[in-house]
Amino acid sequence: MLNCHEASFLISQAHERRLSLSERMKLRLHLGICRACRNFAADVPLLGKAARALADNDGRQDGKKA
Amino acid sequence: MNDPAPEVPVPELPAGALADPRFLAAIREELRRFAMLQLRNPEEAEDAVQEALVGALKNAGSFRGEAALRTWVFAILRNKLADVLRQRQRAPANAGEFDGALDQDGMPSAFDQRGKWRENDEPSRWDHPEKALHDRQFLAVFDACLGRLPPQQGQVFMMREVVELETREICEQLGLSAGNVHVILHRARIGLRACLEHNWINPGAGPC
Repeated sequence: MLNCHEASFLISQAHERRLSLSERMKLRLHLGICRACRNFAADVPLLGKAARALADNDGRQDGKKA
Repeated sequence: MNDPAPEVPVPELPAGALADPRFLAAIREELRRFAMLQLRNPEEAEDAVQEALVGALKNAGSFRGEAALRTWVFAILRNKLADVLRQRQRAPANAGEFDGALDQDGMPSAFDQRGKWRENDEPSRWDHPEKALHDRQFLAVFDACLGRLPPQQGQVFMMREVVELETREICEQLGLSAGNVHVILHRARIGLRACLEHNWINPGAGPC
């Protein structure tokens, strides 16, 4: 049984590589019983989107002031 | 020759926001900061910014608003940075920089000894996170959270998510194994998520 640290590591890695079948099954079992890891999994893609939004928006506030 | 001297010098540069020196100075500084975050080398960052601006000036006239122009200049810069990072023939001897991330063979502090989320760091539900992406205040918080990450985590995270390099390319750049990169990205994501938890999603909940 995965713990939350291991589960979150797989959740993170799933964005860089395809998880093996066994990893996917273990992760699914863990997510079935762990709300915190489900929340983490839902938010990981948002972190990347936020970074890209920040890069695109960076400094718009300053620009408006000028 | 009796060319009529124009009252106002006709700009050779395209019209548009980049012709405004204040806008140019402001965006230049933003570009430089962004390039520095990626490259960590002032000369290379300056070169990339120069090239991005030159590239942008060629078509700047076709952009109406500053916002559209900004987005576009940043897109050009991101491509330049990706090129620099790809081409950089850097001795992969810098792995030492990453000791901080990898030394701690233990777990990130968000977990207890059994690998369970600590109560304060347990990710709570974040309602409508997509809305936040358009919220300036959120982006400012996110920026601050990025700034709090150990530098190597921030760098690898940005290389992956903003420059959109593959793990393999990050490994080549930094002389790390794929496993190292996965560990660093995991830590960066845990750190960012925890920082947002305490400062945005559920600000009453814990320290910092």
